[in-house]
Amino acid sequence: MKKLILITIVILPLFVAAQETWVVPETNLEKISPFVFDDDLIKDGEALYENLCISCHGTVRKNNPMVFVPSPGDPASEKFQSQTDGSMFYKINKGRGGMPGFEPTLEEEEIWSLIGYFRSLNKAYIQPEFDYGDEVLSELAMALSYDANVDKLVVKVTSNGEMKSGIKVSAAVKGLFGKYILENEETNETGIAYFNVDRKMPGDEEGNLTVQVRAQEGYSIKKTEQTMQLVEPTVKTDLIAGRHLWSKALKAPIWLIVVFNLIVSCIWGIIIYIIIGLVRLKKVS
Amino acid sequence: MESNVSRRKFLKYSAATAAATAIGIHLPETIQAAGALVEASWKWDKAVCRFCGTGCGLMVATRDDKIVAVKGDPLAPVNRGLNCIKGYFNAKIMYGEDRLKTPLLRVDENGKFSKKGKFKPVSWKRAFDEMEAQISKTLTELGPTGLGIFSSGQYTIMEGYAMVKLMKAGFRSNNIDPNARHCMASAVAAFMQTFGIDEPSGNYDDIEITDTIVCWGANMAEMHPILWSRATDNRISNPDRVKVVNLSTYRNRTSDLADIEIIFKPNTDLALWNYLAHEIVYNHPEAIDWDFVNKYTRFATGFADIGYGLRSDANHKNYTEKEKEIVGVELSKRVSKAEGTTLEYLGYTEGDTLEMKHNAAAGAHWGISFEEFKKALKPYTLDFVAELSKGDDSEPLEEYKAKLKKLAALYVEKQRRVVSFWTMGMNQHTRGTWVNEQSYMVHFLLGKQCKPGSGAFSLTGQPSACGTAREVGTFAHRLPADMVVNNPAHRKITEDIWKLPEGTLNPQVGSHLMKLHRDIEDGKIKFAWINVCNPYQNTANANHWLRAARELDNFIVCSEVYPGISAKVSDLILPTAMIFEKWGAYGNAERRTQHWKQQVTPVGEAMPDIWQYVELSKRFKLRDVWGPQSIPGLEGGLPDVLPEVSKHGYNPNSTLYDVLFASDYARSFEWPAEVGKDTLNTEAEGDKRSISGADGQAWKGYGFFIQKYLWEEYRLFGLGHGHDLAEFEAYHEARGLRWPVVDGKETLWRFNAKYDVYAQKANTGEFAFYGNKGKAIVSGTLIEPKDTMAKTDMDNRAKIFFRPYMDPPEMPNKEYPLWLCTGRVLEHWHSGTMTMRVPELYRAVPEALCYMHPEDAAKFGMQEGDLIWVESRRGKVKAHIETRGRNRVPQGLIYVPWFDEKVFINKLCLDATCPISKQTDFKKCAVKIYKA
Repeated sequence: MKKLILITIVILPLFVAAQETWVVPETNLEKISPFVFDDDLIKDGEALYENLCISCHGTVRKNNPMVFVPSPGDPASEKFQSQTDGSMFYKINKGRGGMPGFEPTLEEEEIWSLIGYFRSLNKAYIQPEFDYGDEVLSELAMALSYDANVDKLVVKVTSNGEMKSGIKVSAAVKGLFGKYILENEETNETGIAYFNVDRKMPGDEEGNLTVQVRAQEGYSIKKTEQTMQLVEPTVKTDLIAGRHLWSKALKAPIWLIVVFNLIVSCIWGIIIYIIIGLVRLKKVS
Repeated sequence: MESNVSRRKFLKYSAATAAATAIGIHLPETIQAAGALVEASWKWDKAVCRFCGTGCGLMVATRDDKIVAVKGDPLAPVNRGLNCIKGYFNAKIMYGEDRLKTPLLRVDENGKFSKKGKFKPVSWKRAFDEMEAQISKTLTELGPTGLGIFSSGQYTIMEGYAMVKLMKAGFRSNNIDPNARHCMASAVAAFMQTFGIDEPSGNYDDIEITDTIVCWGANMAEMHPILWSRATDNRISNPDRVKVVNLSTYRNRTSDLADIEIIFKPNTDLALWNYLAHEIVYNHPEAIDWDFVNKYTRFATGFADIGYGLRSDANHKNYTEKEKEIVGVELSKRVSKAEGTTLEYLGYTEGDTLEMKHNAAAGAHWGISFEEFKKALKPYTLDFVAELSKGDDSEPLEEYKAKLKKLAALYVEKQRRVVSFWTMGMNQHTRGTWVNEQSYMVHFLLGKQCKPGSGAFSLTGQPSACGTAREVGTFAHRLPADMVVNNPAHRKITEDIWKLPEGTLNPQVGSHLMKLHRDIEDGKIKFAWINVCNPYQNTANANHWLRAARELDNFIVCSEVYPGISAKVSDLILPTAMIFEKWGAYGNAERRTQHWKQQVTPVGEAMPDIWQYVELSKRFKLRDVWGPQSIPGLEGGLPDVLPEVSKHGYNPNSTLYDVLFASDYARSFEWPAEVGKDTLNTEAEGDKRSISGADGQAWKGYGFFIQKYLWEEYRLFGLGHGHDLAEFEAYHEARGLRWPVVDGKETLWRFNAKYDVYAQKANTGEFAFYGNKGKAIVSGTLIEPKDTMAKTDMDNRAKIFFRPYMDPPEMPNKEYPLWLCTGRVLEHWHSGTMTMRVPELYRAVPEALCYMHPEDAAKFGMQEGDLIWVESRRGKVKAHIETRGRNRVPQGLIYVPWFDEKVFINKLCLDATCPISKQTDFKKCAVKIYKA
């Protein structure tokens, strides 16, 4: 028994040591991002990082990841940045041990956005160019409007200035903590995608909502965010206006004020009556 | 007796007596006596029904200044004592709970007019002050074309006449157009093009005389119920001889009586008429009445590339992206498979681009030869037309073909008299003028027109679309008695009768109804007045016009009786007297003009329409309106006619009232008058309410018989010109008279020398189409007119038009897979403002349902009674489904009536019109449905 324990104690660190280096297969090392690490993508990556990764990897540049063995590492650290893009992609995709594999959860584009965010922390980084082959990245432009006749969000997409059908468009309404996805559509022959809007969704006092729309054609992505009047105005009722049981003293319901003061007066009356009685008693005795 | 029998029983006896009289049954003396006792304090008078174009006669009983009973008039030749369900409630419509009683103006907290303000009651004086200010402002900013009047086929004749005079002579604007534009314009355009003169040649007597009644897209059983009762009587009494055919895009109650029911695809009536003509010309040439055709008709045709009456700017800033998917057809469209065949004679094949080059000249036409006419009909064989037009997918093609053949056989049968009836199915059509002309084509070829029991008979929808809108000319292009504004000779006649200086009238055609809405949307019209109609509920593509009314800088006045949609989007509401609260006259579908007297005092502060127009005329002096005026599109504008006014005895400070309504001639019609003995007359003498009027003073009347004056002056237009009307008093003795009334005699069948004095005078034999007297038209080939050819002599002749089949502008596709057809139900009239206020009618049909085929419902995962969204490219509404109702639609089509504000179906309809008549096609657009 003693021997077993000894062997385990000796070997364990080796396991730990073995887990120090995470080997990424050759083919995956070379993978590079087809998506350009532009500001939009980096912003998305930052948002994802804060939702999914910050709990273990800590705040970037502060070098305060969770104390695990092996350490998750700060993405801004040199160790982290010394890997290739493909290596990062593989590790996020597949995971190991405590690190979850995000392949089932995140789209490829989202993983690249994380990597783009990491790379934005490294000033020396230059994004390797992706070989698109014959495919040319198109310049997408979007215009949003609202068709009040039929309650639809109208997204007009042009690809290099021209109308094109088949461009993927998805629209979501921005909420406080996330987004409410409307639909995933494709543009028709006039380059327009329509999204049904439920007028009963809660907006602000004018009925404004912020929509986030994303168009994708091949590897070209365009995102836009716009606040538009889409829904019925929300009439905010002031919860403390008027007389309620939870209102402050003078704004309480009248009956309550009356009853309360009446009871207090009665009780004081009784007290005074008793005191007077006692005083009289004293006088008498 | 009185002590034993309750009031209820009394009323029952009274009603029983009336009903028995109508159908010729003798009742026991006791019941008759009981009925007479009830009625002792009642005053009965004859009147006319407020509703459809049938024009039933009523007897109305008043007591203590309230109408207490309505019954069918047994002496009225139209209905002989019968009424339909709406007709019986002619009195109850006046006493609905939310009847408008005071003028209402949108004001802010300071009492100033504000479009964002809420409606507050104001005085009549305040209302007129605001109207005067707004009209002056608009005239200064935009001139006469900045004004607009939504006029009506439900005005009385005198009201329509007064407004035409005020607008055209007073304000010199032709922007006055009636809701009849949505109703009868295609029929009118076809009458004018075919006959040179408006209105049917036959009359209702044809119903009893004929052997065959064919309904084309008209649900007569619900829409002209009394005429249908007469048709049913004929059919049931003569089952061996008389046949009834119902051609419709869905099964309806008219099918119950029909021997043949033909369900066809929307728009293919164009092909069906041509099939009949093809049958006649190719397979039964012996049926052609060559004597008639050669002597009294000429063949003609016109352009096909005329667009669809949409806005000419397909990229107009107010079009949404969704709408832009359709509106391009106004400029060009792809020739479809069917059109590849039907337009082949013009050189087109499937897939070609048809450029619309003749939108502005849509009505142009020229004479062609019979050979060319025959050649153009070639493609309309039974096989082709059956394949194209069969509307019910579940019906075997051979069965459908057999029906078409039977229909053709009925028309062709030599001695068989045939009457074709239609109303909105053929008129509310993007080729409505064409399809109307096709009906005359078939009847003319067979010689079955203008004869007792034979003829194409255009039924009218509204009670006075004929009498008022058409005959008085309350249209953007018309003057009274079929005259037109852009004809100098016609203007001169009008200026003479109205005693106007030469050049007063505006020669430029104004905005038709669809264009009035579009002009308001474009800011070209900033003052509009709604008379006796509900244009914000009755116009297609309603979202646009609602927004224009509420959000733009304009002023909209609505003379209304109940708060309908138009009232709700207006800025000023004027409470108006209803039918028996004023003297009036209507003209029905068979040219019968019928008058009635005022029976009761108007409710609340409501005042008659004539009073409203005449009081407004007092606010404007000649110097305000008869100076030089600029008119967009008219070079030089309108001349200054003020220098001429002294010739007629006025001066520039005379008011329009002095000139148009209170001349010496007008005042010569005295009140009191014999015909008005013991009768109320709010306009002439005021009434017991002494309303504080437009000047803030108590209303005491004009002091003369203004209604008779308007009638007698209006009469002058038609006398001697084929539109003769009788004197005022004659109509209070007779149960209406069918014009032309010559030497006291009605005209039953026009253009037929045996019955029509004017045809006799023409001296051309049996017939004379004197509407075209002395006329000749250019001749040409099937493709275009040719100046080099000899003209076609049309003197006293009518035209047989060839018109091809074309697709409608919007057809179902993958995204919008169903046809939407709109229409009516028996129990409700038009936009329901009146009938929805009658509890019995409301209970009978409380909401508009979406009639759908049960298998279509199942296909979309729905069930009978479900609440669904119906959505087109232009709007969406919610409705409950009905799969087993009075209308059984085929798969692929849904039907929604438009009487219900809560199911505002006109938000979905397409504002495409017949380019010739400018009448909207409410019956064809594409929709999708989904659960709500």
